[in-house]
Amino acid sequence: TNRGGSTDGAGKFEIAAGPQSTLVFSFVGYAPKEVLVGNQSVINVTLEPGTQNYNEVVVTALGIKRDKKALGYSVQEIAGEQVSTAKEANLANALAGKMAGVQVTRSANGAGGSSRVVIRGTNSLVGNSQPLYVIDGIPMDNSNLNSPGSSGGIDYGDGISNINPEDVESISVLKGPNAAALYGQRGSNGVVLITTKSGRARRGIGIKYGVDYSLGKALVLPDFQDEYGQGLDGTFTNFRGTDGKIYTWSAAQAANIQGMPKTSGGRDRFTRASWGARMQGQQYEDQWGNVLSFTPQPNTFQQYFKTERQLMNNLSLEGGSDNINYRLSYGNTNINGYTPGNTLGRNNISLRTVAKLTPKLELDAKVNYIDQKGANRPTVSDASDNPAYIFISQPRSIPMSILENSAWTAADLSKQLGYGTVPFIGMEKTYATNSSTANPAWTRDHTYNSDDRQRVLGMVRLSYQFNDWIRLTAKTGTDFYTDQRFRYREKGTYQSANKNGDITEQVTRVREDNSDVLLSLSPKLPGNVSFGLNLGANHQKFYARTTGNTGSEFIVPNLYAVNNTLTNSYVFGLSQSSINSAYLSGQVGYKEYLFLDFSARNDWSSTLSPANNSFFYPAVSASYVITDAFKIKSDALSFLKVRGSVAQAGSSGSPYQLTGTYSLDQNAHGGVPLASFSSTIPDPNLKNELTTSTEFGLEARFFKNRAGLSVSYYNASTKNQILDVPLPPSSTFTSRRINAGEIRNHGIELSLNATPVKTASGFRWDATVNFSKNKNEVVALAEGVDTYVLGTDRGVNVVAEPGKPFGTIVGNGFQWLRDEQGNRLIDPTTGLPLKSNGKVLYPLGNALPDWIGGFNNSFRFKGITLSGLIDVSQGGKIYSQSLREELVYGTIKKTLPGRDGTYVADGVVASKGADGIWKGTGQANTKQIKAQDYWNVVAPDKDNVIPEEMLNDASYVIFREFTLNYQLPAKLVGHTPFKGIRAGFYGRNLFYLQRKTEGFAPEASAFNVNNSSLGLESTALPLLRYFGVSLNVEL
Amino acid sequence: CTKDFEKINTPPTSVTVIDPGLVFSKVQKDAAFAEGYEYPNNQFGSWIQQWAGGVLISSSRYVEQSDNDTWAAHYTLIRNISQIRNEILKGMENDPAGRTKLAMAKIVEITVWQRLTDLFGDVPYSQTGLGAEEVNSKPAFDTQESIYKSLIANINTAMGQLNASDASYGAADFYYKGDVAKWKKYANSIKLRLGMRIRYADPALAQKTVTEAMAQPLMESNSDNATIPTYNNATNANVHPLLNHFLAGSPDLKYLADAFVTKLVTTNDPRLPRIAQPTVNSVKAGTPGYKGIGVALTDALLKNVIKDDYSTASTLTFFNRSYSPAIPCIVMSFSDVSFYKAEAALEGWGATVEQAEGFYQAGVRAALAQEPYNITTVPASFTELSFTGLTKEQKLEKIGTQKWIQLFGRSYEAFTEWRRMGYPALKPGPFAGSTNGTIPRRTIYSSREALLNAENYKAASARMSNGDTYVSKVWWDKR
Repeated sequence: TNRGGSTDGAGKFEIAAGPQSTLVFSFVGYAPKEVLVGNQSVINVTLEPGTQNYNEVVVTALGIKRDKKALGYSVQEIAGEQVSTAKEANLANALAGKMAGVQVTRSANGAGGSSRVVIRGTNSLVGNSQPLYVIDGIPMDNSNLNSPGSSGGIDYGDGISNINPEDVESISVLKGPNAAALYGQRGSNGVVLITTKSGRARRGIGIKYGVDYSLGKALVLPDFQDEYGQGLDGTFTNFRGTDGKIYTWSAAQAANIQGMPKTSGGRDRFTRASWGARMQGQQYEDQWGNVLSFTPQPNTFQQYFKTERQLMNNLSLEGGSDNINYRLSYGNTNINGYTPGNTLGRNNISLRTVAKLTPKLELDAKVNYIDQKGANRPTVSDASDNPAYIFISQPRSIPMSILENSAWTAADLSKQLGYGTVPFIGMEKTYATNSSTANPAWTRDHTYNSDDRQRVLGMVRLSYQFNDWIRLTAKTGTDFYTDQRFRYREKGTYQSANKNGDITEQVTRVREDNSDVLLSLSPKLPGNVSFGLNLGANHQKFYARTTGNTGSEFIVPNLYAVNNTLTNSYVFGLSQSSINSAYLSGQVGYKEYLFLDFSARNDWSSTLSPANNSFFYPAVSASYVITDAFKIKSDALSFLKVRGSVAQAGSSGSPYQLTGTYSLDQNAHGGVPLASFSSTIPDPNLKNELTTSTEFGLEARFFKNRAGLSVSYYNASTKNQILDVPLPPSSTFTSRRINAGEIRNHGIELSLNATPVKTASGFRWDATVNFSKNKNEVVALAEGVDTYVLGTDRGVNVVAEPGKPFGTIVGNGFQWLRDEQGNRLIDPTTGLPLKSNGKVLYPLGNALPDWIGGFNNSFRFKGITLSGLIDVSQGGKIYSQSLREELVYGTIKKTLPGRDGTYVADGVVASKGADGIWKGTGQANTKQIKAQDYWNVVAPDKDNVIPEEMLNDASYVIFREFTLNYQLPAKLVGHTPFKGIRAGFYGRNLFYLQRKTEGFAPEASAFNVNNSSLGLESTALPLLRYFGVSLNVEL
Repeated sequence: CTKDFEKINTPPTSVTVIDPGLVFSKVQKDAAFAEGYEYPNNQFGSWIQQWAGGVLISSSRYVEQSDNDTWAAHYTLIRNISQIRNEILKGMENDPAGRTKLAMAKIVEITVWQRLTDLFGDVPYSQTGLGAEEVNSKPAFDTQESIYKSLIANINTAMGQLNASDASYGAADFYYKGDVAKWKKYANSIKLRLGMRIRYADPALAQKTVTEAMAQPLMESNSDNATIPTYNNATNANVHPLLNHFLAGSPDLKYLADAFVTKLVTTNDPRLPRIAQPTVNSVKAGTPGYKGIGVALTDALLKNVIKDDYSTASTLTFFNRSYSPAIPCIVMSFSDVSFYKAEAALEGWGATVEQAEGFYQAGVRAALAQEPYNITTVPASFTELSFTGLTKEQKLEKIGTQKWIQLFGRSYEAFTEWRRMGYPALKPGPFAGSTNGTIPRRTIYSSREALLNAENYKAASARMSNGDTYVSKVWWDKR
């Protein structure tokens, strides 16, 4: 009889076997070894890396396990432990640097925020170009509902962040249509296949428990200055006379009034800037009448934000026999976020069982229940209640202790300056009256938001093996969740409607169901030819419905219910779509060295008209194993394979895009309903988008498989994008929806792995290098359209333009005047650099990196594993909105030099010709001016900026991950009730080896995961550096 | 298996067929409210020195800004109102079920076009508003002269199609609840305004149009005013735009301009306490007084401004959510008509010179009687009602000045009439801005339009004396 078993994490195994039994030990990538048991009770086996039977099995489309050498396209796989040892709360972040061609951008949105994963470049102008996530064969909805924009919003997280990293057996990335054509239109951005753990046949119950605890603190903060405080022109703006009257500074000086300086709380630079007097402890009266000492407040940021604490517990039970196995796991994640009050709690329960009901009928069933509760997630980007936004611009002299008393008092009201008639007792006290000012202490104590997401990922699969070559599989799965959100801001909140507070409560129900049948045929053919064929069909249904209510202006305080509001309005949204598909895929192999794969799929999508809703995607690929074909037996070259493929995939767009309609206004006017016609001109004849991708590559292994290389070149082009082409407002419409445009991505990917050192004593060094370079080109937009705006913010547009890469950053403001050598021209009278007369649009660079890569090293010796990952991204630019704020208000060190009037602007002296045009004289400028005047040209408070000054190079090299694990030796563990103990220490986002951005993390600055935040940083929450410990025990 | 696809893909929150009244109501309301919000008040209203503007609205300091929102909002109004003729009631010009509704929609549309061209000059007109199927993605800019000729022709046609026995909009018509007789007077008043606006640019057409209008019924009293009701205890979208300015706006943008407050104070205008608020510091000192802030101030001057020394709009009326009954938002008033009649009479167009003073007085009295002033007895100290001893120019100045006050809160119309009449004379603020210290005469085309309709934009800009700037004058602006 055959009996199976597997080893535990320490490599230990137990198996009942008689003396005559032969044990066969095998492991992926190693040569199997046979040992006769005899009278041994303990058998130690060391496997040697295989030479001939190096049959690496990978998970491919539809979950079909395939011999990697037979594949004509690139699939990269990582093991679960690579995402679970230095845990990221969002699984997607753990992919950074580990896969060639996979770019991960985390959003700057706090605990539980979403991440953007783009494989082989952005290929769609609309949408987010993110891959499809498929978990155990069932697609998961990864949408980030109501994602934030450039002027605020809250990131409630995406789908992938709900997954427990501990449940992951392996992750396989299908990079684009070549590997993912069988997913039809949904595979055009690539597919991330996640296989979760299942039980294994073993004796008794295997119990594993693991705990992780980590602490996170800001890795990068703005470089604040601590010398000058609130005010302008190096002085205070007002004065409180001993007579009790308030004077302007200049009037008080002129009349030699006795008293003390006073600050004001307006909506101007007098209040909002740190261009005032040097902070030397002088006594002054603040805008509310507090008498304080004018001293630096260097730690407002650090005092407000907290050390993030993440605690993750995981317990799993598994067991089974040859006929049935099961795995039950429970994971608990608890995060106390960086933003005070921000918490995230998540429970994951997963049960999976695989059973052979009869020798021919197998059942695989899984249910994963996720309950995630978030509270007080931070508002992000350019919004008042984003605390990071406030601290970036708030004067450096305002103490946190003053803001801690966050509501107006009668005393404040009587002594205030600059707030007009607006404040009332109990209202939120903000340091300025700007519409985008909030008091972070009020935000923390008097506003609240929570979200509760309950999610079920379920799957049942039955497969029937008719005989040794026919198998029928039927599978159905669901991803079903409700997301309940609640938010209120108390009466008195400055930003709320009429300062009377507001409340929103809404529930979104999302459900995606997928059902498949698959007939697999693998007839044994005579001779050297192998053949396999899969025929299948899929039905997919998506449904998302949001209902809720928003109320404004609380009637009585301290009751947070919608019925306690003066006005309220509904929240409603519904989206439904369905896709039916039929597909086939087949493989032909010749002599185990030449393989041909083909696939075809037809989709019918509900989002297109009956005439256009059916479309077909073919794919074909080939793999040729040269070493086998030519029977090359070389120690140096162990394996060589070349491969190539061509495939198509596409997308049918969102629902409801075909008709122009009338929508009703939220609020009727005195009972009279109001309606308006859609601003987008629809096209009832929309077709599907189409991506065509070609890929070539080779795979090689050297030195008895000690080193491996995989290289791919790909070229993918997406045409017929469903675009809203902008129209001039005078057309009376905003845009016209058509099929247009072409985006091309081509590039190379390289991954190299090696074991440079391996000694008999058990020391082993493994290294992996991933490198990818993607070139993106927007080949065409729609006719007559030269530019397509992806994102926009103050002073900048991020656009797609024909002939240029996606994500061109275009300055939208003034431009420096320069001479032929590129020197800035300086006005000889003012000493200030000269700028264009009006606003100009001029290109500043591109948001996309030139190349990305990762370098991972791991060292093992006995029970010790030490590994480190370096994550690299080179090239690309980011426009920093934070920097703009910091320069306008003089809060960073960069604004210090020359405040006393000794600033000399870099450039050459200009002279104005008779034609009125400025020309350079070649003579270097030496005129001394006040730094404030210089920076006010660069970044004026209420005018267009010089956008190029806000541009940062996004290149970075970061030491991303470090882990040290110690597996206690069996000898020591033997004396405990445990079967294995592993203790670890890890760090994430440790430090930059290279960073060129000013005061923020280049890879974590986006405010959402859509195209609209590409190349834009907007007062991002800092990226955190984590240190953690972990302990894993096995019973 | 694709049977249910059509049902699945049916938009869940909108319809393809609708009663025209819902669109009609929306355009009436949005068009009226648009000119009284914080931004138009602090840009246009600051240029004509009713509001103090300030650093926050850099255009108030004559720093050029493309006026994207004003531009887009007017074309959105056109999109919605033109749906009635392009789709909802298409082809029903001779059908009693559609005829009068189409005419009313056309009249509303004419007022939107007039305001748009008044603010910008040449604008795309004849090649747009043709519906989704006929959309032109690069419409040419028509000259203001041709637009005015077309609008005058169209108002005549529309007036001819108003028929009391036809179906009307009923409650969906905020102005008159479907009262066709009132619509006839309103349409004729619009015609009077169209004619009067071009009096210095095309005197012949102006005279013909005005004379015709004077011969037909015009608005006769404040009860003929076209207004939109407002609701205080509702969302900010339903409150009077000036109250919205107060509730939603910035505390720094609620102040009135020096010229305006001074005029109200020096003429003993009985509306003063209902327009302006005594300054905080004067109230504290026990001597309530009114003072406005200068407009387009330099940074050095702004530094010497302590806001508590200046007046906001009145918290008794416009800036008062509890004011009851809620103040209606005026679209066009009997006072407007009376001032035009006074001007027409001074020219002898459809009335005699002697009638001018009576018309003028009727205009001022109607203005005083308007909500929220409700002044029906003119106090003796207010001596602005007399034309005695005035030259024609001085009479025009009186008309212009009283119109300027009457149009407070209707910032587009106030800016337009100030430019046309040239009264009251205003001294520009000290900040040079982009205009070398002169008061803007128009607003700047949308930058989105300039980007997406570049050739036509450039052609239109090139037709103006100073290009697409604040200082170029529109065709009818000859003063």
